[in-house]
Amino acid sequence: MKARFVLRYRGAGVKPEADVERVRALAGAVIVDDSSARMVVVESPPAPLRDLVGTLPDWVMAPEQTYVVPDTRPRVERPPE
Amino acid sequence: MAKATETEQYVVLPPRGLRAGTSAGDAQAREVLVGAESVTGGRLSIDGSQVPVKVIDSIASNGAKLVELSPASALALRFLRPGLRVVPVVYYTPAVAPIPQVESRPVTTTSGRTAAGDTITMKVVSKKDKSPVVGAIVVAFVDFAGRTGAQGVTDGAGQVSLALGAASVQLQRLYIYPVDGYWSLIKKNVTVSSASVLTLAPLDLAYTDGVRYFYPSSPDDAGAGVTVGVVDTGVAAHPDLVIAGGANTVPGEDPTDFGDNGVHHGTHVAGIIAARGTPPTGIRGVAPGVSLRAYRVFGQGSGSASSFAIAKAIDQAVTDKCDLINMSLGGGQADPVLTAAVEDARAAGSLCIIAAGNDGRKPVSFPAYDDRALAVSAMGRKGTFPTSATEAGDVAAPYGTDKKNFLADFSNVGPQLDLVGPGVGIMSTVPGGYEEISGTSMACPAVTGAAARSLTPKILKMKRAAARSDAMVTAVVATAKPLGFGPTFEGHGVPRPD
Repeated sequence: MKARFVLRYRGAGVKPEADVERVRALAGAVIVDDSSARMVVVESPPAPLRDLVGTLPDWVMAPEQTYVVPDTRPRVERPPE
Repeated sequence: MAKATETEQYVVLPPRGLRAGTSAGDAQAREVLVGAESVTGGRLSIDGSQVPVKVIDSIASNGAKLVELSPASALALRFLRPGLRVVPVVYYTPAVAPIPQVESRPVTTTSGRTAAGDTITMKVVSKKDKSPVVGAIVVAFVDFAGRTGAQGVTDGAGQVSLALGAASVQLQRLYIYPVDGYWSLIKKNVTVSSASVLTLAPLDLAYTDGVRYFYPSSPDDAGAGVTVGVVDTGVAAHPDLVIAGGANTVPGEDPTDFGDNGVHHGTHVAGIIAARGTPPTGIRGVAPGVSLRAYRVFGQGSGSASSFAIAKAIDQAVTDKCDLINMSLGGGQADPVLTAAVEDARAAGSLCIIAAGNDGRKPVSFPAYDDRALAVSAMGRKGTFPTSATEAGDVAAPYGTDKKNFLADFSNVGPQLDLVGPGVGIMSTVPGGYEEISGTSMACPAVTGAAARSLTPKILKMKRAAARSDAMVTAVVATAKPLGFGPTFEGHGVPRPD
């Protein structure tokens, strides 16, 4: 099953295009956002992508996550009986 | 939660990796890590200061150390050597599957009514002229602990209809949150019916709220020469705000649209830092002289942001030479990509200042707890908000040396905290007007503004590298005044520059 991952280059300068091309060539992987100088967003089965990134120096990988605006307001969770 | 004098276990690390290298940037970390190998008398000597420490384990003479420290000693160590990472030891436990819960749901009858029965229609009006208050969120609890009740939004006539099960209902708590222009309202143990009319007090921009209490004087040039990036929901055009530029890093959206996404949060945050208005017709932030940049990471109308958008915004802020990056967001799982972005910013001479989260005394949330960022909790002060406002429900122990000061009930806490800021009942800019909101989201920009005021020209001229960020941390922390809550609630205290 495919999932969405963010790959970030930790080395000096911008992300190496050769590394990005290796990700692009991975079977089942689709690069959905290449607009960052240091990152790409990839939809891929986890295992083969993790194996590939493990061979690329200076890259880290994590599932894409979401963060919220912190709120302090109480909310109703259920109506009265 | 440990008291200030109790010890906890920490890992002390160099700026990157597990071993201090031989570069100039690692020199101070190397000195401490090597020095810790031969600690005598349980005290580590740094620049003449004696920091109580017990070294439990070490991976190498120049490597990470497992130590026991009091929270106060951990703060001292961070202050004396800001390049070090001093990270509380985290123990992981297996995730336990949640116990299935039965949730009551409304049952729709043929008449279209819910099983909760008849609705109550209340009216919300202005205390000033009895005009209807439109768009206010009304939250009514018959059982507050069980979060049982009903909520709605006032219409054009200021009316809201709530299915509360009877024509007259005793509420344990009633909250009203206006969109803008008014103080919120809380009522406890109140009986409501369709005859109920609730009045809201208009905001007075000359009122001394928490930010204006701690930062009463903000001259036009306060923070001049400092560039601040606000990574948030975007910032709207407003008469009190000057926005130098920014970017939208939400995938699929216009990269140049960094205006408010409709949630108003980022515009409020920006005003706390840099609003240039003059009361009573406008409002003034902590550092009106900064150059303000907006980085929108929340999609249009959305309350959530992706780790990719946030990391990309941090990168862009660094590229745009932001000195300080305000992040009033968080709460998700730890993420190596976002951690890397915060660390890379620090290594490039920029400093992320991040809200600790509003989960009510829970541990400091991610990414605030990252040791490369400054984590900010929220405090309030009695007398800086009306007793009828919802903020009255945020008053809780611990109280400060000055008993009017309290740590906000909603604020997260922990040894990762660096600073505390005023975050209860804070007035600031929103699209088309002004609103008062509470949260660590508001405390964070108050601290960011104060941080901007503490940066000297000498620091700002430093090469954009880790030593510059470290110098900024030292400068900000040096202005902090403890309020008496203790380090696990306030870090070094509230920054009071000038």
